[in-house]
Amino acid sequence: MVIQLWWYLLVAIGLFTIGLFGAMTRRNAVNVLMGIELMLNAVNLNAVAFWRYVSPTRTLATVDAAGETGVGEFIASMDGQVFALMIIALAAAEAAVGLALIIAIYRKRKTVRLEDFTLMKG
Amino acid sequence: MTEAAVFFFLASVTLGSAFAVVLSRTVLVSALWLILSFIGVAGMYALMGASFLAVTQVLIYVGAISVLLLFAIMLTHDVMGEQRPMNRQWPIASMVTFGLFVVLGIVMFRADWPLTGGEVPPALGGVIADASGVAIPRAEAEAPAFSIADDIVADDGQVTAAVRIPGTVASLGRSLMTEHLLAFEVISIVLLVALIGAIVIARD
Repeated sequence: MVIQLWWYLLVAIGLFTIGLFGAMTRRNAVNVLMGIELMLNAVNLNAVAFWRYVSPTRTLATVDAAGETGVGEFIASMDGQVFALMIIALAAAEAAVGLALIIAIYRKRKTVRLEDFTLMKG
Repeated sequence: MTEAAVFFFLASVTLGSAFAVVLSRTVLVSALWLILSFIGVAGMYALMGASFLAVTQVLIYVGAISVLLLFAIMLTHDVMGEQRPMNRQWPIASMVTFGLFVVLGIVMFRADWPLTGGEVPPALGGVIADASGVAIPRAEAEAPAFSIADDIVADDGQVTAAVRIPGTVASLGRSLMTEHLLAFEVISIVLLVALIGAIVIARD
């Protein structure tokens, strides 16, 4: 059995929906952030899977350990990995700001439950 | 065969611990399961040949973000957990997310992905041959900065010119510093602003 693209996509879809469920249902604000991190991980997994399976390729000559020459199709673009790197950096920024907000709110209101954050309720 | 087995192992670890993150009562336990889920994703990156990303995933997610989450949990004194970790909308939310799962799955299976079937270059590069097809030592090949000659394609399986394949890590660095330079600089500023913002928001 060779690993197919859709295996990774299915795992990513599962990870995304699990993360979405967590972000929608948990009452603790830190838990909601965890759900968002899971969703970002699913997107990253997609980006890397597409890099691996649908990147433009380039034909190159190769030499193996025994000295035999051959021709191979090699991935010629790194765009998918660059996307994933950017998302990882953004996720780090988002986690830092989100947790700072949670700690700031906790100082004022002594709670991290989302339904107690009613400061902006009309 | 072994690769498929490794994939199924990693997929079950990732999805299983993601479920545990969402379902466990205690926030602290959720955070620990989250770490395992991140490690599973890092393993999948490694399985796909994205070695730099696998290491980055472990460093940033497992090393930094998880520790940040654990700090926040400790600082907010909610370690004990509570009777009802989910809000009242959870039955609706589970139906909606399951529906989304089904819809995304259908879209994914119906889409016609333009698979190219390329191989991942070796992580450190250096699969090379000179004009006569003799292998060149890696150090020698890497000496003049990485470049790939386009005209080395062999028509009848004969190697016609020297070949240098840069490794994935080298290509990634090159890509970041050339075609994606603007995005790279913007993300650096975003990180700086976010870190200053976090300090300003969280200080007394």
